[in-house]
Amino acid sequence: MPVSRQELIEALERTAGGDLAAFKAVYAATSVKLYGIIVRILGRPELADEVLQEVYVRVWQRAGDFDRTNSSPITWLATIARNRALDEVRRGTMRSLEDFPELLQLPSEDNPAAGHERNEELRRLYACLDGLEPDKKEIVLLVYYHGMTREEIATRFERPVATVKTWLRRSLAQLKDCLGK
Amino acid sequence: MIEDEDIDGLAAEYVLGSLDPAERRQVDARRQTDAVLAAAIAAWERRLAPLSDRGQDVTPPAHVFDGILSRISGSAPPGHSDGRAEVVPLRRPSGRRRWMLAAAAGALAACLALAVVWLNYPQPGPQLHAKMNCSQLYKDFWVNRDTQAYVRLSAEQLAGVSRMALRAYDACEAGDEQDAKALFDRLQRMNF
Repeated sequence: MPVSRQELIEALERTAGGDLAAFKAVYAATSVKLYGIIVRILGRPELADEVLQEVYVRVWQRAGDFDRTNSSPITWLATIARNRALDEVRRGTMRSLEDFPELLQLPSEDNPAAGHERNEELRRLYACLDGLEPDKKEIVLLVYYHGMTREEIATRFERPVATVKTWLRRSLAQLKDCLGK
Repeated sequence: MIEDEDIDGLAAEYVLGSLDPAERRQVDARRQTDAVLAAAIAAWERRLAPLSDRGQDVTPPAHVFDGILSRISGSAPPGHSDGRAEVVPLRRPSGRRRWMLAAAAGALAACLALAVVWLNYPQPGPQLHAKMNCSQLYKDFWVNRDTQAYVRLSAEQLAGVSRMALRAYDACEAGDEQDAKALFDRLQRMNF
């Protein structure tokens, strides 16, 4: 259910006041995105269901922490979902690359959502990612979208973990310089 | 103490998601008191946030929201989905309370035995009565499974289950009931 940024902000703020209808609106508007984030990182739908529940319980409990002056609502929600999913996958819950062969698929770079408020930011970010060497760009995206650890990257690219760490730090520093903020 | 003093690099990797579990825990703790690290994390969250727009949306199963409602509402019956159940403050989620009651019922025999032991202790307060019985939960998990199920698991999977069960036990013993509950819950629902 597409809603505007302003509608989502207001729904989150009403949620902070205990408005269940507003909470349902937040869920309806954002759960497909947050579930997508979690499924990509965990790779196991049966775990993703539980994590999504925990994420929204946290949203209900902590909606008062959302500060519209500091963050966009979807960034705030996506950060909660990513952190919870990363914590879960770092527990080592029997994840292996064989569990989900689709793991290494990355989102298409074509056709970003038309009219999306953050299209311009996304284009800038991708322009900067394109400035990285192709394999470094792939690594950054694999970690972001699928929560791959340095060790998993090292295995996949057959390089030492320390090298992967160096690659990541340099790539991220380059990205920051390119974005200029 | 984190020895890595490349604060911005550490924050970047934290947000990107490439840190190992120990490093993530350290950063989680340190960001509470280190304003520079916290600001760097916030900045990286903003920088990378647009990437979330690119990922494919996935519709969650309908039962997920029912589960959320049952956790945040005081009396939502199974299948109730109009969200009009009375909402109670979440200082202490009711779902956890219900789960603890269910766990207590499952371990009734052990609780009766323990009650005899508790009689020899100084008068326990209400909090002690509500404390999870970690040993029993851990033992129940292993004993109540179909042992043939273990045969079907690979050694790696069995090791993974063992590690998760131990983490649940450790979390329970450490008093982290929410973490322990989540892990035990997940273990119980594993189909193998």
